Amino acid sequence: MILGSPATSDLLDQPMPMEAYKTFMPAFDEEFDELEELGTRPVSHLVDDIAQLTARVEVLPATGHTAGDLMVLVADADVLFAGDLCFFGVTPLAFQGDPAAWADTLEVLSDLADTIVPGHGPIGGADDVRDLQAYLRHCVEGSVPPGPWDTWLERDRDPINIEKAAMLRDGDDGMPPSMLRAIGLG
Amino acid sequence: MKEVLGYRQRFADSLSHVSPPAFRTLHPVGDGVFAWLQPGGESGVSNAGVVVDDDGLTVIDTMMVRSQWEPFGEAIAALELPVKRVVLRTRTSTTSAGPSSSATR
Repeated sequence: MILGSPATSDLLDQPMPMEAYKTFMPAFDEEFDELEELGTRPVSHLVDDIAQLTARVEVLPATGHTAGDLMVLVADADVLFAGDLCFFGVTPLAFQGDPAAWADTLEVLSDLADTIVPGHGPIGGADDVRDLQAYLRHCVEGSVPPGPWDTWLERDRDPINIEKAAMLRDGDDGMPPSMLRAIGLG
Repeated sequence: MKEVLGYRQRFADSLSHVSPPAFRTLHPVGDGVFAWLQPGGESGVSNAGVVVDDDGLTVIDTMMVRSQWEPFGEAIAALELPVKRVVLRTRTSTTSAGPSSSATR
């Protein structure tokens, strides 16, 4: 059983943009050739609402990073697998999301569990979520002042996140030109 | 939750050669709950997880390329429990939906 959001399922049914992957993640250039050959597996079960998957595992759809994120809560262990809703120690990437909505989602996220496993970076908790939320709010405001994010990796994502927030304010949900350049399409 | 006899020892055995911090190992974060962490966290370098349940394992996300999915798959196999579910939790992004969804092979 392979579970995913409808948005993830739709993407997996499409060809992988392999050249964009190679441009954006050149460290894996050679391995992408094998991946292209092997392909990916499709989603077998769609998750479009909160679902108690097993006695221990609850699946929680969320938006902000993209329109189709899923989080996994293991309440009896007080652990949340937050997926790409959380980047700890790494600058988040919102080119297909909504930085303002993402920050709003984070408002409740840290109440779900004490231990948060992010999609990228080390295990964290409420303080890390607060820092991420503050960073995203600054992106929405149009500039990022000095702060705890000064030590994060991938700070060249700032212009992408700021540009995306500004585009959304103008009603444009397209790909930020700065992101298009980053994947070799701009 | 019912105890799954033996999985803790098998997990401990699988880690016997590893020193902390335990990147790319099944790092315990709760009773029968493991995080698979990759160092750094830049694009293409993501985390995953495994939960032991009554009927087997729930795997939370997958790895992008062979150098990532092989050690993850080996660590899961060392638990000697069936993988019942794979939750592709987050990978809607066009830069990662495909690669990160190359389910454990």
